[in-house]
Amino acid sequence: MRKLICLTVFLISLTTFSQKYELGEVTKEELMQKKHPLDSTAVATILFQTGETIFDFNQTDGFKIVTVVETKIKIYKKEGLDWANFKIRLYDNGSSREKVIFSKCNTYNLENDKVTKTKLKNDGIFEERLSKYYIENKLVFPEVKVGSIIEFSYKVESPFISSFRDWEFQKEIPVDYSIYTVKTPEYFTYNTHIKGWLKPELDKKWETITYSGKMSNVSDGRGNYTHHDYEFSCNQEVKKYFLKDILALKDEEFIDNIDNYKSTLSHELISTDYPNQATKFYAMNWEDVVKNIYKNEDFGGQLDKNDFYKNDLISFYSGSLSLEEKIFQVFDFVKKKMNWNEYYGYYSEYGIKKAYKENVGNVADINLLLVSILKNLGIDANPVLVSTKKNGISLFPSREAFNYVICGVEIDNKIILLDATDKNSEPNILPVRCLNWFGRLVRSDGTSKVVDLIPQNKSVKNLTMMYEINDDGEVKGKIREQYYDYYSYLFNNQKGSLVKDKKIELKEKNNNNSEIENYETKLSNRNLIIETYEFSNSDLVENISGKLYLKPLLFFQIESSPFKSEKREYPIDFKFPYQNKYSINVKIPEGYEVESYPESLNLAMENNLGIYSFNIKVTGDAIQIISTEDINQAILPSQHYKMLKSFYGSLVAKQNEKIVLKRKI
Amino acid sequence: MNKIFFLLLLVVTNSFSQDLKLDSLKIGASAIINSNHKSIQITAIDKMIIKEKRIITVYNSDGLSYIDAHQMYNKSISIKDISATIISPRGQELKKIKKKDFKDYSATNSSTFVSDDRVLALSYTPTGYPFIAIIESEIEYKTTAFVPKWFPVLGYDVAIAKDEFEITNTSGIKLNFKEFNLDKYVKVNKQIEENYLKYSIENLAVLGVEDMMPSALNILPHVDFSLETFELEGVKGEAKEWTTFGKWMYQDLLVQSNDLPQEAKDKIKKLVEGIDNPIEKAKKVYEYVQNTKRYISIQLGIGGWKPMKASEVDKLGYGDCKALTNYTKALLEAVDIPSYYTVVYGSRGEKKDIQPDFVAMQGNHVILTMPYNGENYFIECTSQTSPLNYKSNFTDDRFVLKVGEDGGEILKTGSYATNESKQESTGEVYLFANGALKVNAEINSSGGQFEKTAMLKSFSKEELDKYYKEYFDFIHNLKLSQTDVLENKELINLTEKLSFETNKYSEVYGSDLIFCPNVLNRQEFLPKRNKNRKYPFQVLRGYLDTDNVIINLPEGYVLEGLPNSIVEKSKFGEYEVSFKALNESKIEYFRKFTVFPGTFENSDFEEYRKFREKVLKSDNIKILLKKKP
Repeated sequence: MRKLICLTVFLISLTTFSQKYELGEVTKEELMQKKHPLDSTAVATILFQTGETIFDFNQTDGFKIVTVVETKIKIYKKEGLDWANFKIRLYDNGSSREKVIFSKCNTYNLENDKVTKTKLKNDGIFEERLSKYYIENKLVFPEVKVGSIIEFSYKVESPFISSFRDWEFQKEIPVDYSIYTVKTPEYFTYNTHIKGWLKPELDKKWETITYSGKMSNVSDGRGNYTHHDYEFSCNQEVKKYFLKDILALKDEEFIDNIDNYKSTLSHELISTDYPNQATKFYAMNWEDVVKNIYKNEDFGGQLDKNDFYKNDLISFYSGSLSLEEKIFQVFDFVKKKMNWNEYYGYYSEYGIKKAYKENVGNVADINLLLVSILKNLGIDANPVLVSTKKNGISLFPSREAFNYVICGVEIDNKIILLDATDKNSEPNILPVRCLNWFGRLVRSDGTSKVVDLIPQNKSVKNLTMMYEINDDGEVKGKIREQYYDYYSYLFNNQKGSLVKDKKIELKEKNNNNSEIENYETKLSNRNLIIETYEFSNSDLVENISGKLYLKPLLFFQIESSPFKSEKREYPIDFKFPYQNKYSINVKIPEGYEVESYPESLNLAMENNLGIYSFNIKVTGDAIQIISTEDINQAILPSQHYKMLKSFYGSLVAKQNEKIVLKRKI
Repeated sequence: MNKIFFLLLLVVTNSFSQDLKLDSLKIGASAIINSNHKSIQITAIDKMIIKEKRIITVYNSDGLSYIDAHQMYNKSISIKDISATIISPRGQELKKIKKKDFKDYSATNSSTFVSDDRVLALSYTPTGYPFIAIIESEIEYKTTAFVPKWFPVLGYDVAIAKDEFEITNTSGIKLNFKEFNLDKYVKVNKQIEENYLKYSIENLAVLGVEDMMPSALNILPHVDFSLETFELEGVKGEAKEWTTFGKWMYQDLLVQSNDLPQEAKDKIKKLVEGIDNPIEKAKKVYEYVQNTKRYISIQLGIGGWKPMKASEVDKLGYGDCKALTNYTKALLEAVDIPSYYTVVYGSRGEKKDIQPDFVAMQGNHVILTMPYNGENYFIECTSQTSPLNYKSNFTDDRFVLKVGEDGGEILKTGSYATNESKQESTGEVYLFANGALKVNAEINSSGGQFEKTAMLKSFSKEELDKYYKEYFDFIHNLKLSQTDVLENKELINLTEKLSFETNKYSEVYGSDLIFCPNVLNRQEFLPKRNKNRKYPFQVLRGYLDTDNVIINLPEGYVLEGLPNSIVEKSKFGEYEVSFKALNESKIEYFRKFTVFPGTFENSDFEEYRKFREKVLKSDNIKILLKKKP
């Protein structure tokens, strides 16, 4: 019976203390709680977070969005103390700005068995201007220690009805209870979308709302100004979103952008429909979104500007180049001439003319310039709107869904993608930041087309190595490494700007401190780099009781599997499909023979997602090995994790098996 | 205290001269400082004007940082003018950036949450390399507590054609200075007159960087300056000798903050009631601060030098290093334990001293000194986990400035001797015929080695799993079955108890089974070969590791023989390993590795590398077993 009682008490206490979702009430039990009931690793938890967004009206400013958020946080560990510092960013466009008011900011502690409450006063509130457009307000809560509970409420008033604050259900710590209410008057229509794999409960209804107030400075037409009262009613839609027991979001290896998986609700204004006014449409579907963007002077408006570069490009207009050659040469011209100022965006910052003159621009300046030149040469080039990996995935049509633009050329039902912001980028080899989700190619007639940005073609690393072993265990040989496509891009990014000595130094380090000689690299064509060198190393072969042991890949084997965790919640992002092929010829020392060697192996994942083959052949004093690792898809869904883990487990084990040589008798 | 550090960094380094041997200077250079001319005019206790003109040729993106066109400002530092001109190698002006086009930032960053300082910085995208940048600025300081240092060599990949630095002091206040490393690797010209000083260097090629180099402070030329009386944001100060300097600091910066309310005093008295031993009392107080107050960097008030009041810390429950130190001091005072606010340079990569023979505003961090029984305890008040008097490598083994009512005094912080910084690993290992391995182990870290494992205590299971998979990265498919972390703050040691296994450890070839008996601790560090070593090399802290492992051989296998014991002694350290058969199925593995601290001659480097190579190889020695017939 004892067991049963304990259990009941435990259950009751659990349910009793998470009942109220209002600020100002903190119980002893809550303060005494030592760890999160569902996640003992949690450093803190959001006990609850409630939010309500309404539309407020006054005669002078019109409608504004008012959002009130109340949060209650429990700190479990010292590492969680930072959750008692809070920041909020506010937008200011120069003429109007968002404003925030804090209230009910308190810290609760248990002292001598009593609940104490400490108010956050003005000395714990800080404001700071981050830039022309942004202001940040910060709160630092008083008296916070392990065990404390903090609560706060803030109200943000925003005159910008087109942009709504996102509601994050999920955080880096658990959220026990999250409820968000949006009340939208009938004059406004918003698109909503929820990302992440959690599905909040939704409750909808309509109700009536009455706005009233004083109207000031009403002229009677004869120069007299008076005040009078106004009052009007309309319907509003009330949507209530609710989720509870939300797990903390945890980052992992091989992930594109963890925020893509954070459960978040977003809004985008579709239309406003004020009484006695025509309905005004904002973004609605992807076609509309891109049309709207295209119409902007800083986007579509840039593409027709062409007078300023023509003189520099006479050779392209007259030359007898093939279409593809022309495209590539223009791309190279822009890439070489222009320098990216590291600012993103699909709207031109300086205007392409000024950018051209100064050789500097943001992403849009550079890539819209490229589109403009290609178009002017009669090539079917158009801008492609992109969301970078960092910007994440918005499944929801909105202008904010994109933050980047590249150039797409359509030839023979194929598309060549170009990004001239990165000096190492090549046609269809985009910087990794762009390899996210899909892009939208926008034509001047307003039509658009979805473009898959995830690389489909395999990038190949092809390595051949020949080496011989001395009887004292020293290995000497020659290596030729060929890097294609993305491998070549990455090679340039990492080592392109290094001087030869530095490249050699890196190679020595990566190849197990081998001594490297006659090191050369050459760019064979656009997407191929060839590296050749000779190496020697006396630490690769182990001599144990007269036998020689070595791993045939010497230093190219993967030492341990990158997939160590037992479980995986998110897709695995390899960035691009690839093949790593190693062809190896080993000459064994005189007087020795092969005693044993790793057996050949063929591994395949389901649906042809990955293949590994290890083939070995021994003939006389020579051993030949071909090791080929193929990953055929850039992003693997998480349900394949188990298979992937076991695939890499076997691959790593095989690559680390050794060849044993013994003395001939 | 970040801010102070920031300040010093900013106020580093300026002229122009055409007839240079630029070509020889170009070798290996990311940038060349064609000329750098900086002139400082101190005209009054509250007026210092710094004019700079810097001309730099930038060869690649690594060289961009040498443009260094950013300037902090606040109530007492005003930027009269700052501008940048970009010129092509052919001398054509590419761009002119005026003061109003500089970007204006708040001085907060990932380590400073709140600050009232701001920064003006150049934002320029190069359109090609090389290019030349001309930076000109004029800054007016009301604060004269920090006269900029002369530190001309800003990096190891920059060459300097000409650098000139001059100070004219017409304030009537004595200007003190101290020179460092003026004749070591760089030839320095100087001119010293009454009220005028000038330092310059010319045609300095790139120095180049090497592993394990001593700190730049110990090899590169620099000169520190200090006015005997100065002003710090409206507060007058004095730096003639440490006594008076300390008195000033105490009176003007600290006393007002020592205002612990009676209520708080009573509370802490009650907390230590019944404890007689002052150390035990101090521990209790320290623990109280660690558990109830948190560190947050808030840089407000007198240039970030005046601590927040003790009453505020008590009320708000947070503070920066100054505030928490001052608060802890007030608490200790309430229970009759004297302690002292102490200024230090906190840094792990180098042991940076407060210069004992140079009275000036120095330091970037604050700790607490508690004298007891002829010994000084140094307490880090921003740590929420550290044991009292833990000699952290953030502040160990260096000169610090203790401040009290009677003035300032230079002290040296303690450190752990090599044989006190121990890691003792013991374990029992079971090998299986299929190559699998099971291990029960205990790792005990103490002294200087306590610090690197102290965080384990707060690790979650997942974090521990990740940590051990990395720690034992030479064991594949490691599966942890049990972990336990026990900390003993009294003895300053931490014990990790763990059990793990893997299905693949030994290698099996026919009737042979091969394994490495060193299961718990393998050295992986091997310095790069360098036959033309230029600089001395440094090992900042010594340590001692021992390993004692009992290995149970797999059933059905017999030992063919054991490797010979190895003993390796050098001035860099000592290494010892032995293998002993306890019976036909048990081996004892013993390893002892001592690393000595020290600064060694460049000519010793190859020998050092050989020593480390020997250690690395010996750590990987393998044993062969044969299947019983």
